[in-house]
Amino acid sequence: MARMKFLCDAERCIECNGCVTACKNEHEVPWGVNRRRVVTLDDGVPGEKSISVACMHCTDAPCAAVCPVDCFYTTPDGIVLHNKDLCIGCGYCFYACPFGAPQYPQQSAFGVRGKMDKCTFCAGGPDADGSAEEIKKYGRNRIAEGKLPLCAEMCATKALIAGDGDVVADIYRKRVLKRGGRPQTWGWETAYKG
Amino acid sequence: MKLTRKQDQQAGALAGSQIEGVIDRRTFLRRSGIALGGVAAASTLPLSMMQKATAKTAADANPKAETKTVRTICTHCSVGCGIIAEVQEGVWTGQEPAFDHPFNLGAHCSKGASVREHGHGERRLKYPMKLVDGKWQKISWDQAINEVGDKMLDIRKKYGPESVFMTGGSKHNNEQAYLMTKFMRMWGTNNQDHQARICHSTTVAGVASTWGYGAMTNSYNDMHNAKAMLFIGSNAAEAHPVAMQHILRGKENGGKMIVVDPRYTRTAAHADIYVRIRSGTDIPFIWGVLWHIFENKWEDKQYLAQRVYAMDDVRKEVKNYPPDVVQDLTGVPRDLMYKVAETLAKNRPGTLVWCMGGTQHHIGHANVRTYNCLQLALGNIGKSGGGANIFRGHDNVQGATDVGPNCHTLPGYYGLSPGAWKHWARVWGVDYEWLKKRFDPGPVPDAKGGTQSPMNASGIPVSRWVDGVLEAKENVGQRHPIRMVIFNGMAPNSQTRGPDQKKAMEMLEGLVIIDPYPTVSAVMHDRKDNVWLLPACTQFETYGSVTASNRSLQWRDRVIAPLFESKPDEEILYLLAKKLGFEKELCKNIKVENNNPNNEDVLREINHGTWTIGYTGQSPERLKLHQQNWGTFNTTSLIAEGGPAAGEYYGLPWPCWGTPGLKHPGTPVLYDPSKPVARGGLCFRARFGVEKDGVNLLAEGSYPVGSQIKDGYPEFTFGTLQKLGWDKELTAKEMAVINQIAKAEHDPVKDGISPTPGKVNWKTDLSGGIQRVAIKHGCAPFGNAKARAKVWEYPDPVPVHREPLYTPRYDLVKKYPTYEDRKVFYRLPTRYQSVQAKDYSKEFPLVLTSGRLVEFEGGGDETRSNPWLAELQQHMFVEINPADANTYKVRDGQMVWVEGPEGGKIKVKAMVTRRVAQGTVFSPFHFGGEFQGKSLRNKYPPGADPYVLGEAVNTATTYGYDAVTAMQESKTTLCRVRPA
Amino acid sequence: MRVALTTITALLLAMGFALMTGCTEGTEVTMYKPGVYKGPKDPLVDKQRDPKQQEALLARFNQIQTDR
Repeated sequence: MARMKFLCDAERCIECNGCVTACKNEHEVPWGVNRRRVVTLDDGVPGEKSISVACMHCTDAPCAAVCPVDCFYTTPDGIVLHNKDLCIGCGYCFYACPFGAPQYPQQSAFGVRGKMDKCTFCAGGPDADGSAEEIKKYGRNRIAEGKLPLCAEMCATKALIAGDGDVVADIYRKRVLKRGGRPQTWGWETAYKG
Repeated sequence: MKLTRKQDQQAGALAGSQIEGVIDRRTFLRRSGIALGGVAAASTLPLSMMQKATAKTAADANPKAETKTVRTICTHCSVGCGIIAEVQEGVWTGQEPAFDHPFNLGAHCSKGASVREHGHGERRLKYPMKLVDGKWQKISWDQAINEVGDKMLDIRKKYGPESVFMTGGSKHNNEQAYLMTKFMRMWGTNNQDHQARICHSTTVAGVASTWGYGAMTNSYNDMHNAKAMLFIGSNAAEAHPVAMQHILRGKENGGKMIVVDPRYTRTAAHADIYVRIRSGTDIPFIWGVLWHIFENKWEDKQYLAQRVYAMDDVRKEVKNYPPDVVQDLTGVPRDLMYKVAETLAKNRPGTLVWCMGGTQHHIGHANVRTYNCLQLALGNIGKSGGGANIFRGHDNVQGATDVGPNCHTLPGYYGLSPGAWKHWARVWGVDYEWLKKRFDPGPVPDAKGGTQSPMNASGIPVSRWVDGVLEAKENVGQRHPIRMVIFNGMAPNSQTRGPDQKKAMEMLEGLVIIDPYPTVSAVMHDRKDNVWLLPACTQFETYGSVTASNRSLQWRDRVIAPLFESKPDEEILYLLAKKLGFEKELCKNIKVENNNPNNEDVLREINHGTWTIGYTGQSPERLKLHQQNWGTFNTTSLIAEGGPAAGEYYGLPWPCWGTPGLKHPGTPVLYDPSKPVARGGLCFRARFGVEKDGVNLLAEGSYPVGSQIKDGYPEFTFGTLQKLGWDKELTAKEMAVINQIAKAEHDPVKDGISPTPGKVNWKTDLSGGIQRVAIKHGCAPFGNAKARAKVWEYPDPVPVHREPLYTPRYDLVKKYPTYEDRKVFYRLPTRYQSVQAKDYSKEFPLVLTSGRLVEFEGGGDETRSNPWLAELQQHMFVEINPADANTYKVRDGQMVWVEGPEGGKIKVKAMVTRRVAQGTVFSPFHFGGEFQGKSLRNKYPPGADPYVLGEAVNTATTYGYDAVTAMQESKTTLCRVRPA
Repeated sequence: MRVALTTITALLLAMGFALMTGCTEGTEVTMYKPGVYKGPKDPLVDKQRDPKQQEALLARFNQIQTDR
């Protein structure tokens, strides 16, 4: 059984925000919600590195563990999805997530949270695959069509990779060997330990 | 405890409160904003206050409807990424990655990933508008065309056709750009120009004067083979992100990356060696590198002997730039210079990449020539993995430069001589005398103190149109200054001297903007009337060919029908031509359907006439075949190894010699003698004569593989063929055409009684026979010569350093002064010495430089109107070093005034960062819509203002124009910063 | 005597009402299982178990992540 993972190769990431925009494009994500964002460390000085961050689809997802209404579920290949109909917008998952993946669309002037929204690995939600309801609530379901997340498919330098963890690691290992340098599997220890 | 499912509770009980456990779908959709197909105008606006979109969106489309896939090319930068658009019921609902496409392999940057938003078009110009008493009024297309046409005819009657100036075209496809230049020439003026003037015009001049063609010599993909890559003035990570895919692959293949830039850019973050130079000191830097190369005898002697002229003159000049002088001028220490030189010398073939950082200076042409000399000395030109890789800007700036509106030449760089006009008159099927009568008779002064007809005089370039309006009548080299400007796809905030632009716009009698978005031209001025906005549609709503930076032509199919009331540019030009009375001449050989010229016919006409650069073999059929077979092309060499296009290079990179029937595969690497000409090989062009001062200018012992002339030779004429005995290989049809042209060109006074076909050459032969026969014998039609390290026509035959007009090192001005002022340069007086005469460095101590951001493009109205992109960069800013921030009491995030020495000033947010060195500040140029602290948002037509507005950095930039092409000096000027 | 009768009637009535409330009350009790997903089943979950689907995703991956 494959185990879906994201990996952002910090040696190739140029902070072009292609992944961010591809996600916005595919799922019509509203202003203010960034399912994916690029984080730059040491901006402007030698050693500058950028990494693209979204939901890591953790093995033992803290968001699922703390949800008071249990709206999260994990597919057999490790994609963590949630049900917006059950979500109460309490924000606990945001506190628990080490990557800041859960986002809340802005509401009225009183700043009240709405339904939690996060990266779905382009796998939609519990509604029927490819239905109009699923598209409106969660965005496109590319996995059901046999496609992979658009952010990784559209990465300008093929820095962001998404797919079965073994194959992803294989690609990355090949690159590291070619470069002869230290691996940079950022975030994997936190998300995939155990 | 008994629990009940929340859904059973009545929503009514919670109706009053904002918090709901389960909300119904309509409320949810209203909040997430998806159903309304748009997003909040600003993050502070409640989503419930949004307006309904007028365009259909993906969310409204039926997901089960049939999906049509359309292949097109991104409309942003010159990499030319392939796009697969999914269209359902006429609505653009999806964008899939084009994995097969050889340039991007499916990848996109943020701009490419956002193109589907063009199908929403929230903030586009929706219908023609006119400014009446300071307010925008909707008008019909008929009224718009009539009024614009009437105004043009009025100007023509009062002042002559030269007083109308049309600017634009780098985002037009080849067909539209070509029609634009044809339109203006038939109107009767050369006063038309496009973005290349302010972007790579110095490149084209510098490169063409060195070895014959002014374009990128290799390709982005070819960089996989580079062992060394020098980036000078290029921020590829932000300006050409997908090119970084190829650059990083080259790096992973072992290539060494050196980045030279006043700023530590995102590209520099990936570099092996980063060199910080003072802005404007490219020549000392390159000469400093060459100093080490010559010192250590690392130059390629055989290459220089066979293929380069006058490198010894460069050697002499380079002696004036030893390491200590270079360190004083540029700030680079000796060890680092040596390291750069050694890396380049020991890692060959190496490629040199430059962009605006090198070109946008008043010595830009000289900068470019130094880059060329460096590459020639290393023997890197004409090799795979080497070359002068110029990353061009907009998606079709290369195509527009090749066949579109240029003030100094007809399409194809034929120039403006009577011979060139006669050639194009033949191609266009119009009478040369009729064309001549359309122009003002003149005469006008020329640069050498004599006179010429306006038809043969370069027009006013777009960088100087402002002076064309503001300058006194007696100083302008045409009958009357400019009185009407048509911004046909060009924004003003990418040109310098904002306040002068505003004044010029207010002085005009008519201002027309043809664009999908209003652009800053609509709001920059305080005019009350006679401004027209005509909505053009984007490149996704029309079809045609586009030329990427590596000279490949790509075919675009139409994705969706024009949105709202916008029209394709070709239709707008045709309607205007109809109003002005020359639509028949405009489209003599072009089928017109419903006021829309057929773009395939236009491309065929381009094929029929552009022999100089080899735009002749790329017929619509061949390009479409390539489009359908993207995946068969090898991504390093760009050749199709099998499949329907076997043996051809993707996009048939020009020169693609001869007629489409010749099936030339295109030339992927220019000047590469390792392949026969018939398979894409080439040598340097023989453009400058056979000898100079007794020195042979033709190549010696270097020639493309398979050439039957095993030495240098001049360009081919029919006479040459006759001398070689090859003229017998011409077919009867080709001979008939040659004789016809000879007859048309025959001047009884100069040539004698009977016409001499011997003069018909490879550029004017409309049959393509001369080219065909030359190639058959393995020869390049344009000759085989040496590249020139010394260009004797230029103000500096061998480049020398000259300080920028506004320089922080005034002590150096005595030793490295700028040029003398000129009375007539592109029809206008141009100042150099008089600007540099005053020392501004005490009052304005900081160097102001500008550049690109990855999220935005060009003038920015298009990308800042895209919510997905606008969200990523919401504020205009100025980068300032912490040391300077402390000196001028500026805190991070504080609003500051950046003031330029010519009186322009901008109010922007300060970003304190070590990216820029002490003494330099940087600002992106994409913003517009605010002017000197005031927001112009309410001057935009309602619903067409971009989400993000900001000050245009070019409001604060200054006078300064390149000595050969009149490129603006926007990369290096002075400013001061103080808290607002 | 009368007092005794009213008290017994009152008691009987009270008992009657008490019993009736018991009748209308449902007897089933929902046990809350923490950490178990409470929503409807996602058809994607079954689809992902299909080896053909996994093969398709792997093929897609090889198409994208290639430095070809």
